[in-house]
Amino acid sequence: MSRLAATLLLLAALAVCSADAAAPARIVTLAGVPETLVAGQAWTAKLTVRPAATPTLVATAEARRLTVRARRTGPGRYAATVRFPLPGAWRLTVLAGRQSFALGHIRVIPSYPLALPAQILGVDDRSLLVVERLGRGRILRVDARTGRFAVVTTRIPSPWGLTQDANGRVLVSGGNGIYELGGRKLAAVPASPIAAATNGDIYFADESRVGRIGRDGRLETLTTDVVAPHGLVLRRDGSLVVAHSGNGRVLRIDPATRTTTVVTSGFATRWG
Amino acid sequence: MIETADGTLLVVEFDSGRLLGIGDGRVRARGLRKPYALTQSANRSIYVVESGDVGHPSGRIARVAAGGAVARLRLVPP
Repeated sequence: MSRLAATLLLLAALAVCSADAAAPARIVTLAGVPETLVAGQAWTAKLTVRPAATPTLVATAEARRLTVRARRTGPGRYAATVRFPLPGAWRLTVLAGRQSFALGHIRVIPSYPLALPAQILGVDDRSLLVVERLGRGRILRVDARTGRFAVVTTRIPSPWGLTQDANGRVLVSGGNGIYELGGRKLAAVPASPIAAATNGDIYFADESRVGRIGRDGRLETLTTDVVAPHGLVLRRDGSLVVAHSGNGRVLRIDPATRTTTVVTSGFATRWG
Repeated sequence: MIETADGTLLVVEFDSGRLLGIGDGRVRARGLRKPYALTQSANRSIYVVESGDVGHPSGRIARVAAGGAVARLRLVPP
């Protein structure tokens, strides 16, 4: 149970003491408080009221006031769904049986925090795919206009890189290989950045090499002259460009001849 | 790193928070917070993921306008 939820439960218990002495002793408890609550996100408060009485949840912040009549979900149990329109500290109160129960404050933040996002890919005018790490290990589809997102998949182990091939198929790299977004494994080659060629080849980089996986599944190493490659682009002229976050260098590779050329170097900071 | 529709290579610098062109070295945007990767959408807008802290989720998505202005998306869960 989060510290916030525990605080709210404690306040609910204390609220009994402040209720009308002539009314029956009533206890209201609140559950379902998420670790993170974002403005605009729908949240369903789970309320228990003993003795039973249909509650109304009231949330206030500065001049704003939201009032939601709860629906019954079981004996003495109720649910109230609310969308906080603005971030801030919202004070929660429950009205039940002509009594008022203060449930403390709930913190609403302006934006959902991403877990160490590794890659982002625009797949059309409106949608962005984002890889989250740091224990979440999932891919989100974000509406670039509204900011609303949905989880696309959690099935790809340790996802990292994203690319789209000539047919619009999204490919994902990760700690165990390269996959289609739907989860089908295409190659058992752990990789970080990846790029797809129009002929079906897949280019990839890991900590020690840049390579190519042919349409037939054949694996080739193009160069091992890499230091933590982080960015990989297959240019329209067919050349491959690799940004090394380990040494601030950008390398051009001709996939046909495997010759490499330093495009730029000497940057002290990490590149992506 | 991306190749834009006009053939320019763009990269983000994690430590400096800059969006740069490779070749001309021109700074397209500043003020990004630990930028980690970028993309260009079909309508040519540039989006950057900012990694945030390793210790706890705090990453964002920034949109970079043509003039270099940076605005962050307000991400809302379902």
